[in-house]
Amino acid sequence: MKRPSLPRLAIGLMMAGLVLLALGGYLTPWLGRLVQPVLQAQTAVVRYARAVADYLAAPTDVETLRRRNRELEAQVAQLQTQLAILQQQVAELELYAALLDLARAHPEHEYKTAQVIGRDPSPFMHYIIINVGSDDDIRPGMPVVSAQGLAGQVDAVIPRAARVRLITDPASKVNVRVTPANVDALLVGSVTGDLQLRMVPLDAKINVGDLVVTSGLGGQYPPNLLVGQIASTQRLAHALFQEATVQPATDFANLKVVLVITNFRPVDITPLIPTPIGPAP
Amino acid sequence: MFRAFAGGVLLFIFAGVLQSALLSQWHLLHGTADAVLLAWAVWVLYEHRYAPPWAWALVAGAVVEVYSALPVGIPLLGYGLAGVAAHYILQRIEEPRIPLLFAFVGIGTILVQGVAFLGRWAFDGVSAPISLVLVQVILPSMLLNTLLALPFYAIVGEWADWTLPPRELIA
Repeated sequence: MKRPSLPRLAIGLMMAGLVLLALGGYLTPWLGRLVQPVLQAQTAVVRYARAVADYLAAPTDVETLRRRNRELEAQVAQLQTQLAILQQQVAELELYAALLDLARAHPEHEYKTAQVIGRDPSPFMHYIIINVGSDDDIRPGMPVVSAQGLAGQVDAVIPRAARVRLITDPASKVNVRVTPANVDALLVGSVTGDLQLRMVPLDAKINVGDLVVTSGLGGQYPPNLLVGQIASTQRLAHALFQEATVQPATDFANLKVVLVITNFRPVDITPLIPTPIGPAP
Repeated sequence: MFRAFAGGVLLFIFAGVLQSALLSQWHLLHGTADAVLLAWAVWVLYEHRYAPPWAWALVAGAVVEVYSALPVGIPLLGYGLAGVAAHYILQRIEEPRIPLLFAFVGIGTILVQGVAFLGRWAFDGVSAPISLVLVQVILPSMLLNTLLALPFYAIVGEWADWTLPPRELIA
């Protein structure tokens, strides 16, 4: 039997020693340091391999994403449209609720709802056009109110539409009462749409904020319809009457829906007004 | 001839609808733009061979007569005067169109609005200081009309090109 040579024995002993040291856990830190670069290299290889794989698979993913994006955009647009419609319906509902409140406050009247579909082309004419007419039993002279208060009076009628003269029109005259002073006066419009209170006695105590309602005198409007509030007063020493400006309750710039009071017939009292008698021949 | 007449009438009716439904709500102080006047001012720049400007102005005035509560005849008178002025100008100057357009719009606004105010004063007893009427209504209306003149020129010009026969055929 051949005896092992010395170098081979030394190597065998060293390897056995290393194995024993490894099994005993004495080489773990050293092995960790040796393995670390290998792990890093493997991680890098995997990362680059995945990147290449993703790049090769990208076209189908992008197409899927684009399709999904289009679907979501269409859905957002649809929801936005629905939201706008709902907001409009809520606004209309609030408007009709306000009109209903007004109708409940004056149960003695019968109303016909109408939408404002146009305005007079001339800036000197404060008129609106509504979408109800003689087919809906609308007649000239019927008062028109908004959710806030008096708006005007029906001026002319055709079968499916009517023209309404607003109280801001310069030719409009409304007999009103100022409360709580309980003073009768005449409310007139103007070219600029401002409302002026005329024929207020000098001794009448009217103040800013007092309410102005229709008096019913003259037979053109029913009584107790809110018109507005006193905004300012003017009292001139040499004048026979004091004057005031009135802030209308109705927002005439945003008039969209109105109510026509259909059971009120204006009274023409012109024949009852005495005419001046001329000098005897 | 028929196409020109139909094109003009349809244009003024559409302008009347646009005015009543939309433009009358947009105020500058107390003035408003006048779509019918603007449509007329552009239309007569393109078409004054079949009918003179004053005839087209009467058609435009008739459309406003239907929409407006102004005393009967006042829109016809206002637009008619604007038409006579445009006729007088066009007999002397035919080009360039843009300065003519602004001249028609400016003069037309003053005449139409001035006659409307005088009509209300005469028939309805409406009174107001002239300075107030000028500053609050007529001049703001003129400014709005001037601002809208070029957009109307583009749109109505397209309409005129589409409805009117080519010029060489007219002669």
